[in-house]
Amino acid sequence: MMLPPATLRLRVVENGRRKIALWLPIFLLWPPLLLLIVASLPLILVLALAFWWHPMTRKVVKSIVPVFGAICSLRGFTIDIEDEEDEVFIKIT
Amino acid sequence: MSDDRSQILNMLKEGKISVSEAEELLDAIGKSSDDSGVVKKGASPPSSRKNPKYLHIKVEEAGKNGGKGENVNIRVPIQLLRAGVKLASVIPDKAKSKVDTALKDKGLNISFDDLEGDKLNELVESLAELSIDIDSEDEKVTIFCE
Repeated sequence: MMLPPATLRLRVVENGRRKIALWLPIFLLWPPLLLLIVASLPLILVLALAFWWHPMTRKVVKSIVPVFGAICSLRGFTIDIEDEEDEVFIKIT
Repeated sequence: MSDDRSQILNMLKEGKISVSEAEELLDAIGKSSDDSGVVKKGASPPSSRKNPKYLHIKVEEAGKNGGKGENVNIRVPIQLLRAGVKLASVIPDKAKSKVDTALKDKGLNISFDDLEGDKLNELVESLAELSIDIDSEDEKVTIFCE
């Protein structure tokens, strides 16, 4: 089962000094976001049906699942760039 | 999500542990997990697997005057590649044909439409065998899947 990312770690070190050090619990965002989507689903469905004639609407509807898949597959994505004094670290888990 | 990981996140949500404690615990799980995919410094690339999970790109630059050079370590989930190909199905046909033409101009006879189903699986499986090592005086580039 594919789950969206749970945490995001971001660390930026500049000239040996830590500029940014974030640990973002993005899993806290998903329940309210889910509720928001469920609440607005009837409106989305009505709008989608009303504008179904437009090719863009079909593209957008078709892209919902792949976009969600792309977000979920970001888990494990890591970027770590460092030299003697600077560092950029991004990790999505 | 593993049980341990979800348990830690629940404890954090309930306020039983602090953010830094949760981070330490998650790190500890990551280190102990066999398939965490984390590349340990100095470790050699793992042997090829049937279904790779991550594509690693490592660039190690030799430092000036014996100092530490620039190191780049990027880990891309293979699942992201699959998701990207699926997203390509929503690209407008006009844009798709332009991309295909550009790829052909570069000598790559690949079409987005071909990269679906079994062919995509075949491509991902063959990535397991991928191992590129470029070693020069100044820098070392390693690309592999695990």
